[in-house]
Amino acid sequence: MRHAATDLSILEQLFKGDREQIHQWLELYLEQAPDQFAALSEFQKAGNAEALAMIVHDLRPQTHYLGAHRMLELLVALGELVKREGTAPCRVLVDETHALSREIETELRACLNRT
Amino acid sequence: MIRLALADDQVLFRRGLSMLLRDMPDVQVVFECGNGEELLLGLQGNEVDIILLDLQMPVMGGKEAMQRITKEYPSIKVIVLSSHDEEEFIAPMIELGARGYMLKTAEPNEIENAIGSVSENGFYFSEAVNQVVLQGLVSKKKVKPTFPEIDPLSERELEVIRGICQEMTTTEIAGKLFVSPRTVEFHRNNILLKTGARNVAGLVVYALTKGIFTP
Repeated sequence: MRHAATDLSILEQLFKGDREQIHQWLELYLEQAPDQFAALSEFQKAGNAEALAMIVHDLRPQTHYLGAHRMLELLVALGELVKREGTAPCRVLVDETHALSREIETELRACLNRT
Repeated sequence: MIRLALADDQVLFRRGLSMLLRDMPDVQVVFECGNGEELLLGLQGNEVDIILLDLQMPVMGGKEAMQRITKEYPSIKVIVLSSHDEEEFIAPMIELGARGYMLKTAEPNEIENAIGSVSENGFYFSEAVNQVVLQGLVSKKKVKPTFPEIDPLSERELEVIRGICQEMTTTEIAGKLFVSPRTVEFHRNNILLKTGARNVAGLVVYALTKGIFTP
């Protein structure tokens, strides 16, 4: 299943095409991810580089599972930037990940409703 | 049957991986847990061959857990699964005795291959990880490779070492050379003896520094 911001072929591989399992995973993602992306902003604003880097680190594997390549690129760039220069210059990238995360959520909800 | 334990605090990642592992032939997921402490508790009551271990976990992280496992369960093979692709994370885990190090962004079939390779050959390091480690060892010259003057490697030994550098399994090398896996192991042991390398990573460094293999 390929969409604009995601490509669920990795999940298809992991779950051997089991729709129910894929749906459960997506629902779990939709439960957890918004809080994690919200935490990105909070830690960036609070100047907590270590916590920001940790959330970025946590988000990468699940983003990979979603085949969200653009998001993965953003997270890698954000992880490198915060490590190199701290939280201050991360604002633009954090905003961009937020916008993209909302796009991904909308896409996944549509996918869940459709099937 | 390969008996596996899976230690990772990221529920979404663990769930996906667990599904993959449960469908693998000859693999039994004995238990899953979310940190190093739970892992050590689980090992007390279960026989395990391979552990898939995350590095960054609450309560007890992968590095501390690895130190304990090496000491208390030396026969268990550990494959580190992490999002960290920097040498500062990879090298210490190899030094502690990890038999494999993979990135969490590896494709599912690569994870399957890694488990099979560690079970069969005792090690697996993905290409990305090999590159990071070798860059650290050779390019930055943190460790200057020194090898004793040795008997020259035979043509067959050179073919085996090139296969190792290309991350081929023993079986794959055997197939390519039309010999048995046992013969490949024999050659590999001879190469280790001749070069003085302590492990396969050392063989790769040897091959690179001597120009036997060019990536």
